[in-house]
Amino acid sequence: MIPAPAFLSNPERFMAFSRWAAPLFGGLAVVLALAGLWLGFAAPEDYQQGDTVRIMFIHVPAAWMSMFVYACLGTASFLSLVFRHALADAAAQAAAPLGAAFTALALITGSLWGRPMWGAWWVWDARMTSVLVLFLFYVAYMALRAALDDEAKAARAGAILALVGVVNLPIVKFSVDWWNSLHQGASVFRADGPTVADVFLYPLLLMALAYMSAFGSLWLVRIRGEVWRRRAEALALRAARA
Amino acid sequence: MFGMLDLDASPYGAFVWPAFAITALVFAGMIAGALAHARHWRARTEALRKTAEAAEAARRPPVQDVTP
Repeated sequence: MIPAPAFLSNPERFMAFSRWAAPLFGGLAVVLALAGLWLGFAAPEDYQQGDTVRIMFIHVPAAWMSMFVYACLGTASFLSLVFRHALADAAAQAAAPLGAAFTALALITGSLWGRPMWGAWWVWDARMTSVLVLFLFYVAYMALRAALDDEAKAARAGAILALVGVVNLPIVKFSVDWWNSLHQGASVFRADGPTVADVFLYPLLLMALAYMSAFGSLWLVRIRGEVWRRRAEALALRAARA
Repeated sequence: MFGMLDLDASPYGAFVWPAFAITALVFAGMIAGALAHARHWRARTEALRKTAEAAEAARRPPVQDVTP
């Protein structure tokens, strides 16, 4: 069996851990975002993009998070489906609305950058289309969970759907290599190092860390909410039987 | 490397500022949603727990005074 972190398999330990970890990650996110915004607005205009380059500091981290959160959703769904971890299912359910929000942000801010730079709010480019499909997977996951009253059936059906959606992640990542795309190829995570100038790279990485910390904090809070909800439903069921 | 803040986004202000405003709104929504969800279910759990404890106490037979 895959050794899960202790807090993942024990709700009591998770609640004790998340009680201090959630505000810690939240505070870290605020500090990192302030530093990233400061550096982002102190950076010079890009010689081609002008001031729209600043949209990249909020767009690119949102796009990275859309994929990272889906990877978390897929992993939690796998653990829930195979090892029946109740907390893993709560983690999957808690990740979905956050992932949908990050994906929507990536699409909206990308559109606001695309209009002045490409001359269009939207094009059926491989990267944009695959990210739209990713957003639809998040929406479908939440709709499916909401549509089924039986918690166990909803968890199982949701986990299967989430795992099917994992197939889309490499398509999003490599769409710019596999098809002709308006999007550029990877410019930060490359074997030969980033090709982005330091004045743009540092604020971009700080904002990415801020988004990551914010997700960590909000995910923990949402999982705590899920644990409370399940406890409330168990108590209500017990009261109804008594 | 980094000087004063450049807050003049012209001629792209109509795209840059809405992007930042929407990002702020989405984050505010995520924070409010997560906190409201957790607080609502915590309060509901505690209320149900109190009700269950009160019902359990009412079911228990009264303790008889056996002191001589």
